[in-house]
Amino acid sequence: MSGEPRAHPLAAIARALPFVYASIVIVAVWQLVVTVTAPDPSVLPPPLAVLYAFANLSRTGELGVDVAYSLGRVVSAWLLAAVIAVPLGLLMGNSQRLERIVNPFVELLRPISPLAWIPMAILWFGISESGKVFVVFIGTFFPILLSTVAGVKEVDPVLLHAGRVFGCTNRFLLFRRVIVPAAMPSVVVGLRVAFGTGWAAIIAAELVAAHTGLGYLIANGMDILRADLVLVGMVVIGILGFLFDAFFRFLQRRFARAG
Amino acid sequence: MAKGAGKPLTIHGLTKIYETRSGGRVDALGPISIDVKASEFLVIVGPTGCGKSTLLQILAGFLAPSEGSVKVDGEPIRAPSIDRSMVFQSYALFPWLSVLGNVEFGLREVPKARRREIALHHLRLVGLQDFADKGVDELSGGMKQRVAIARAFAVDPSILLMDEPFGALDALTRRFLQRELLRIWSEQQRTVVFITHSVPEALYLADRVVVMTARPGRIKAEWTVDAPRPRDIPSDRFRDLERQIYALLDEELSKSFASEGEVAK
Amino acid sequence: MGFQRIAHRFAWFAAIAACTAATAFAQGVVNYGVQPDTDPSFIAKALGYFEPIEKKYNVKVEFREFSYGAPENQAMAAGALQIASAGMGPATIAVSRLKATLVAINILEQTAILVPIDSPLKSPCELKGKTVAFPGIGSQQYPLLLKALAKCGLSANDIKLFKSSGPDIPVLVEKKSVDAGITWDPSISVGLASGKVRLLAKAEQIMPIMGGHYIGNGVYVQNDYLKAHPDIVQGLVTANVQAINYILCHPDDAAKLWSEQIRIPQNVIALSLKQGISVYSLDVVPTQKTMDAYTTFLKDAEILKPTDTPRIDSSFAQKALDEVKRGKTCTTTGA
Repeated sequence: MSGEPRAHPLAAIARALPFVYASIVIVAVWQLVVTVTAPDPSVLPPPLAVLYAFANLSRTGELGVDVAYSLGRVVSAWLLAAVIAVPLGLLMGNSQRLERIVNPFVELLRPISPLAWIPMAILWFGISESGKVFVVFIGTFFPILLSTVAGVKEVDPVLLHAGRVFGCTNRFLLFRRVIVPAAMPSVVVGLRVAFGTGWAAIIAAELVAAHTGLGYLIANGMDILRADLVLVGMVVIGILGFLFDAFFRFLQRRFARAG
Repeated sequence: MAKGAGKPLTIHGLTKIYETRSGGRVDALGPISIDVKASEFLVIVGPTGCGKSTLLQILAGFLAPSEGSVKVDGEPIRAPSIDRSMVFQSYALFPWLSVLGNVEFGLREVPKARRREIALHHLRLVGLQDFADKGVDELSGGMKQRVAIARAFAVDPSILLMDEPFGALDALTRRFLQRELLRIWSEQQRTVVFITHSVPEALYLADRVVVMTARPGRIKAEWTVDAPRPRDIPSDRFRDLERQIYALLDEELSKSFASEGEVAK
Repeated sequence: MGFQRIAHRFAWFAAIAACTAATAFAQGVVNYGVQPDTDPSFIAKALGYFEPIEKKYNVKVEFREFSYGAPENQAMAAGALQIASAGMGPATIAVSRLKATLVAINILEQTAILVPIDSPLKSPCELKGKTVAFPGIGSQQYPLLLKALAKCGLSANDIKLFKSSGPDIPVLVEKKSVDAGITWDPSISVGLASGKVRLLAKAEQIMPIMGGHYIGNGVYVQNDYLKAHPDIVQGLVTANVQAINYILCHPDDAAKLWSEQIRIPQNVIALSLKQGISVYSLDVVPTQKTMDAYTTFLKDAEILKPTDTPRIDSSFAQKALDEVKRGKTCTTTGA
């Protein structure tokens, strides 16, 4: 298609190597600390204990269930946020009037961290999944909206000129044929960042009010002094977060043939 | 579809005045009156800030004149149109489209099957047919401008507006593109209004050269360049003309430096 | 954000540990973890039963309050507490996982299953498919709930569990946000006093493993401290048993003392004592038999690993019982 020379499989492995090295170093330092300071295994278990707990949780399927729940909540909230924020952002970026109306609400609500919404979410939604989806929605909606608006406003004005010269005879055509495609790289960045925020938010929400999920795995582990479970949760959260981000960056490269 | 030659452009008493925030007014351009003949290659040179780009924006239809009129073949300009195609200094290619996609962009009125044909034909004209499926970011500056030229010609315009199109390129690429532009233009000569800083470039390309004064830009002088193309600019004949034009420009430049600051063109 | 919160917690505990461990060994402060329930420790403190120890060994007993057992254990793990009083669930986890030892079981019962006042449920067997609020897997209530379900041939998979905090559970039951809830006293008594919830089952009906009652609250000590200061530990355990004697002899006065210290209305505490929601006995000795019965459940529920062995030392409680029995004592309260 667009002839990307970097699609070579060996190149992908080469790109992953620094992360592999870093992981090895982290585990080595961890083991060193455990060996030297000999802490209570309830406080800091050795890497092997965590690996064992990981294997156990995977075998029983419990880890899979927790991952599925956390992921499911994030993805549904994120999709919902995207479906509302992207069109809204595109329209807001394009219309000063609309922006002026919506902006005050955004600027007032945005600084309230999704974590601060958790108690409200419990009050309003109680036990149900909606509460957690709501918290993640708050965390993902604003980054997507802001990125989208910025994407529209930052479209190079000369592209708008070119669009008007080459056949976009009305505002709608210009919007559809030039503004929206030009804003897309920024939109994708917003989606990527939002997913990261959402991922962090779900863990916090699950720490407080859930029965399943990786955040719950951590909270539960804390409650029964199973630091190995806590660490399994943390490691899986870290790895999944990293993988998603890498996936989004891949999408970004696909979308943006930056001129 | 092929309209053949270009259309005449009549500019009469054109001025552009801006209101500043403090309530004052800035005379950016004019009054200007030119009759650009059909299929004429007109080149405008002038000092920075004289309003030549403003003029081009008015001709394109992005700005309305404050006074005076602009007519294409008797019809006043109302809005931008593919009939008055444009090449920009910063190329203005659409990064989400392939090279071919960019050239096809203005061809919406054309049935889909024909679109690709026309676009490829124009890519061939600029020698980039092998890059049809490539992304814009894979091209050098010179190649990008050639794509922009292909795009501008593909819509079969009567008038071609070019705003310092080779200004961002190095000297060798410039020379190459000047030759290419003339070659493509000569097949179906459309009316061209070309803006540049470069006097040698003006003399190489133009049927007529217009020199503008410093802001507010008016026509200081004009020369018809009757020589056949391609032209040997270093030769004596052109050297003389160059000297005269430079002298006028120097005058205007010192005037514009003397006045306080620059207003956006 | 999740990382930050956990990191913050550990950093916080490390900071407390640094300060309090230092003070504990330097100035002789005994950091004593407690929760706001009807713990004999509060009575002991209010009546000055700790003073003889404090004077004799030049130490100061400082209460550190926690809202439930898990953070109390985390504090002990970080070295911030030398001795802790908590529900038997967290206590057993602590003495299995940390370097700590159980020295007394000072409250019995203390757990019950609640339903809304007009609920049609008559026994735990009818909980199948229902939503039950509970304080989490590491609590003293969870094993009891599992036993209640097991007796009916059910398991945790047959109900919908909803984790909440102990004090919130009676509210959830009252509001009918859940079909039933299991929690600890005094939250149970607070709920009952409101008149909008009733008991579905008392703990002793499900799992009577000590003197005909379920075990409620345990006292456990950090091993290093136990080794270094056995006399102080003995003094603290004896003070607890003396306090229990006072509770048995003067329940109304005890209720008044408690209400001042833990901010629960006096009539609620009186109700708890009368209805035997919390039960007291001079015999606070943690026997192997009692503990085995309890830890089996924790292991089945995979809260404890099969290799975990809770450490108990009954000598302190036994000595305390012998000493208090030499004086005038009263009989146990409760049904």
